[in-house]
Amino acid sequence: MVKPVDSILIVGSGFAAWASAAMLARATRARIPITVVAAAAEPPDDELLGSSRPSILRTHAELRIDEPGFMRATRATFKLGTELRDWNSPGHSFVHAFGDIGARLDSVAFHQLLNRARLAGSPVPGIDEFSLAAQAVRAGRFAHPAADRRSVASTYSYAYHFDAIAATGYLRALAEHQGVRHATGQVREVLHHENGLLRGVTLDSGEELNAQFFIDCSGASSRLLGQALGVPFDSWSHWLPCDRVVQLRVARAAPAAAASVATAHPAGWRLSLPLQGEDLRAVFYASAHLDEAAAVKLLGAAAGAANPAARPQVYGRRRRFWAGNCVAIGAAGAVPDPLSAMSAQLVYDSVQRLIELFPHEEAGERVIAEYERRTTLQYERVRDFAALHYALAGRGDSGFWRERRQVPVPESLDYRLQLFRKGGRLPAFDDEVYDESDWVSVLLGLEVWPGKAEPLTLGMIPDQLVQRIDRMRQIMRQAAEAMPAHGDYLQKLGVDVKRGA
Amino acid sequence: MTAASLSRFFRPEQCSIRLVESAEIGIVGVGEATVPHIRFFNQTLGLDEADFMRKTHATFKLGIEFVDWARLGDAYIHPFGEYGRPLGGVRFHHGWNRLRLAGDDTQIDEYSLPIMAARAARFAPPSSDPASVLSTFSYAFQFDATLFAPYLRAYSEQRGVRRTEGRVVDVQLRGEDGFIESLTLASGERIEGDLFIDCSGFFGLLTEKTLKTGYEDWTHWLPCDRAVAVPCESFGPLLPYTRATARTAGWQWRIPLQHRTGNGYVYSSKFVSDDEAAATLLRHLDGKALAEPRFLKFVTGRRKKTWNRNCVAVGLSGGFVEPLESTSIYLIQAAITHLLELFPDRSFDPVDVAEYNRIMDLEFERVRDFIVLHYHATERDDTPLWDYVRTMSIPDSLAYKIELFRERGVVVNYQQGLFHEPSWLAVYLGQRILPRRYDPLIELAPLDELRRETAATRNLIRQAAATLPTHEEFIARYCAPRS
Repeated sequence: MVKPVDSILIVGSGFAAWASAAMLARATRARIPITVVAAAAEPPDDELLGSSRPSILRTHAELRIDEPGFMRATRATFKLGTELRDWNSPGHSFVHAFGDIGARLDSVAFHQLLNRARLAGSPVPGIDEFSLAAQAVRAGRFAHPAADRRSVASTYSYAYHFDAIAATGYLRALAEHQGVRHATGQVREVLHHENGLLRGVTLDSGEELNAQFFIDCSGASSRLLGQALGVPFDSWSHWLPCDRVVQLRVARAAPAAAASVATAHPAGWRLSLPLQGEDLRAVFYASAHLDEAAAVKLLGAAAGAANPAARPQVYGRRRRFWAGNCVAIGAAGAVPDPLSAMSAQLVYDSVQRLIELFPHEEAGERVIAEYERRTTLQYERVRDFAALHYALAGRGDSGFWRERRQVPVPESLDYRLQLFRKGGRLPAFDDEVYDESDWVSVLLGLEVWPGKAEPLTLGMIPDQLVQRIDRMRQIMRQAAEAMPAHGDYLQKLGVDVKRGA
Repeated sequence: MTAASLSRFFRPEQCSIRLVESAEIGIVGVGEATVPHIRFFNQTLGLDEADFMRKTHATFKLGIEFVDWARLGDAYIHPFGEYGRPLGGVRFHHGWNRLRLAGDDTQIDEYSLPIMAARAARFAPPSSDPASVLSTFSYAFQFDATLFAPYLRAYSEQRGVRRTEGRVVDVQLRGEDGFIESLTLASGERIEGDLFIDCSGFFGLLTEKTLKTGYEDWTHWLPCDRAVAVPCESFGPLLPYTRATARTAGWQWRIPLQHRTGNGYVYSSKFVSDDEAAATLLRHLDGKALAEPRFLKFVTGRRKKTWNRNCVAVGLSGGFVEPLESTSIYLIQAAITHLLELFPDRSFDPVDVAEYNRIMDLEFERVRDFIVLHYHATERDDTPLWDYVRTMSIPDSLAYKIELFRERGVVVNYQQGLFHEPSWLAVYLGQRILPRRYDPLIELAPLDELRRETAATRNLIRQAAATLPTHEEFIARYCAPRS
C-alpha cells in the first residue's frame, strides 16, 4: 500500500487556490477531502494574470473547460500576442505574436534569411511582418488556426485575455462541483507537529482545520511557506526592476484588439489588457525613479475618477517551493514579472507537477527534490524571458533605462544572448518554456540583430532572397486580411457579453 | 552520412565538399542496428524506404531483446513504443506496479504492442490513426553498413561531392592559430580546406593524432574494450528485433538481416582472452559462420571537444559507446544535425563551437548513462565482470535517476538527447529495478477496476498483434531483392 495523503488544506482565496482545488479534485477523483480557507490579510489577486500564453489551451483541455463557456464567464477576448510600444525609442512598436515567423528554407530559419538580406544592404521590414498572428493583430482580426497543416492559417496559435477574478469564480464552481469544501473564516494561527511539519490552522472563529498536506496559495505574503515555515524570499529585482504597480479598469467602447499592449515609459512600463467592454490597465515602475502621483497619471484615467493606490511588488521566489508537507503555488512560492504572460500558467503547471509527484504519507525527499528541480527550471526560463525586455530595450532617455544597460543579465540569459548576437543561433536547453519564435520575435523586435550572416545563406542570391522575403510578407498580410474582425468573430461565436446583459 | 547530408544542403558552387577515403580504414559494422531517428535522416535525404532496404538487405526493428542481464534466465525487450494507456490520468506503469505489489505477476511486456508483435515475429508499419493501438509504436532498421556506405556515396557524388581514394600521410597546420590548413596524400596531392570533418574512426587522424584534442576515458563505467564479429547463415523465423545476450565478460549481439545474421561479442580484455571470446562467439551462432571472426579494439569515452579549432569529429573519432542500444548511427546523425544548425564561417566563432560541444557532450552523456544502467542494475555476481559492474560507482546524473525511480517509479525526462520515458521504463523494469512505491493517486481506483481495465488493454494488444503479417511476409512483399 502506498497511501496518498488523506486530506489537503489549501490556504488562500484567489486564482492559485481555486485552480489548485479544481485540478486536484479532478486528479484525485474527489476521493481525498480538499478544503480551501482564506488566509488573513491576503493581498488581492493580481488581475493581470489573465494575460496568458497558448499553453493554456492544453490545460483547459485537460480540465475539460469548454471555450465558449469560459470566455463568456470571464469576458475573455482572444490573444494572439503582445504589442510592445516605445521600448526601442518613443514611437517604435512591434508585435510579439504566437506562432511561426516566416518559413524555413531547407534547414535555415527564416530570420537568418532576413538577416542575410539586411547585411547585404537591403532595407528589411520588421520581423513581425512575417508572423501571421502579428499581422492579424495589426489588422484587428482573429480566427481560430486552421487544422490543415499545409495551410498558412495553421502556423500560429492563440491564448486568452480573461478577467482573473471571474476566472477564479469559474474555477471555484468547478472545484466545488467536484466536492471541494470552502471553509468560512480566515486563518488566525498555524499549528505544527513536534517534528516541524504542519498540523493545521485555527480560524478566527476558533475552529481548527487539520490536514496531512498543505498548499500555500496565500499570495506574496506566503502565510505557510514564508511565515510559518520560515523559507526566505530571494529577490530578482536586480534583473526585474519594477517594484510598484498601480492599476485600474477603464471602460472601452471600441472593439478589443486580439493583443495586449505593453508600453515602455521612462521608469518602467505599462500594460493594457483588453477584456470585453473594458481594459485592465497597470503601470509598473521603479519607485526610485518615479513617484506615485506620476505613475497614476500614466494610467490615463478619466478626469474625476477615483485615484487608485500603488502597491509594492517584488519579483523573485522562495528559496524552496516545497518544505515538509507544504508546497507553495502561485505568488506564495514565486512572483513572476507580468511581462512573461506566464502567471496563470505557472500556477497550472505547478499543480500539474504536484499531481505527477503526488505526496504520499511520508513524502520522500527525492520526490521533493525532483519537484524543486523542475519548478526552478521553469521559473528561471520565465524570469530570463522577462529580464530580456529590460536588458535590451534600446531607449536610453532616462536614468532607469540607462541603469538597465549596466546590469549584467542572469548567466543562462547571457549565454543565450551571446549566441544570438553573434550568428542568430539559439541554444537548445532542456525544459524550454518559450519557443524559438518567441525569442526571435522579441530579440529582433528590440532590434538585436546578429552580427553576421548564417553561413548556410551565403550562397543565396540577395535579389532572390529579397523576392522571397517580399512574397512571404504578402502571404502573411493576405492571410491576415482574410480573417474576420476580432469583435465580429466573438459575436459570431456567441461568446460576447452584451453590456448590461 | 556526413557527405550526403552536407551535399543535400549545399550546392557545389556554395561549398565544395571533398571526401578522402582510405580503403585501409575499414567499416566497423557488420550488421548495423539503428534507432527510429534513422528514418528522419533518410527522409531528409529523400531516400525511398523500400529501395534503401532492398539495397542494404535491411530488416525492420521493433526493439532490442536483452537476455541474461539482471539474472541468468531473464529476458526482456526494450521496445520502440509505449506501455499501456494512462489510468485515470496516472501513468500506466504505476497501475502495473500497484498490481505487482498486490501479487499480480503479469509482465509489463504484455502491455506493449511492439513487444507482443516482436515476440510473434510479426511486423507492419504503425497505423496513422491515433485512436488505434496499432499507432502506439515506432520502428527502425537493421541493415548491412558495408552496403549503406556505397549507397550514400552514390547519393553524395551525384550531388557534387568529390571523392578521392588515398591515404593521408601528412597534415599541415596554420602557424598563427594551429588550425588545419591542408592534408597531403600518399600520391603527393595536397588538399586544402576551411572545415575538416574527421570521420577516420577510433584512430582520430585529425582530431587526436594531429590536434591532440584529448579523450575522456569511461572504461571505469563501461569496461568492455574489444569486440569480435562474424556473420552467419540465418536460421529460424526472421525476427524484427536485435538481441543482446549477456556473456561471461560482456555481451553478444545478434542482428538479423535479410540474407544473413550479424553477430559479435563485445568484451573486456581484462576478463577474457581474444581466443576465448572468439570461441564463445562461434559456439553461440544460429547457423554456419560465413567468414573469419574479425577483432576490434576500442576505448569507451568521448573526445574532450568533439569540435576543436576547424575540425569536427563525427562518428567514432568523436567518441565511442558500445552498440548495446544501437546508438552509433544516432550519434553520427546528431553530430551532423547540430553541425548544420551551428555551421561555421571562416571565423569559427567560439560561442557556436562552445554550444556545439555543450550539446554533443549532453548527447554522449545521456547515452552513456543509459548504457551504464544496463550493466550496473544487475544481481549477477557469477563472473568477475558482472561483479565489478554491479558494485562500481556510477555517474551522479544516473544515480539520481535510478533512486527516483526506485523510490516511486518517477522517470526523469529531458528534451535534449535520446531515450525518453518508455525506454527508461523498459530498462529499469527489465533490469529488475522495481519501484518500492507507486503514484499514490492510483490508490484511488479500486483494485478490481484496475484489474479489469488492464486486462482489457492486454487483450486489445494481443488481438491487434495477431492481425499483423509475419515480418518475413512483409519484407518479401515490400523490399526483398528483385531476382
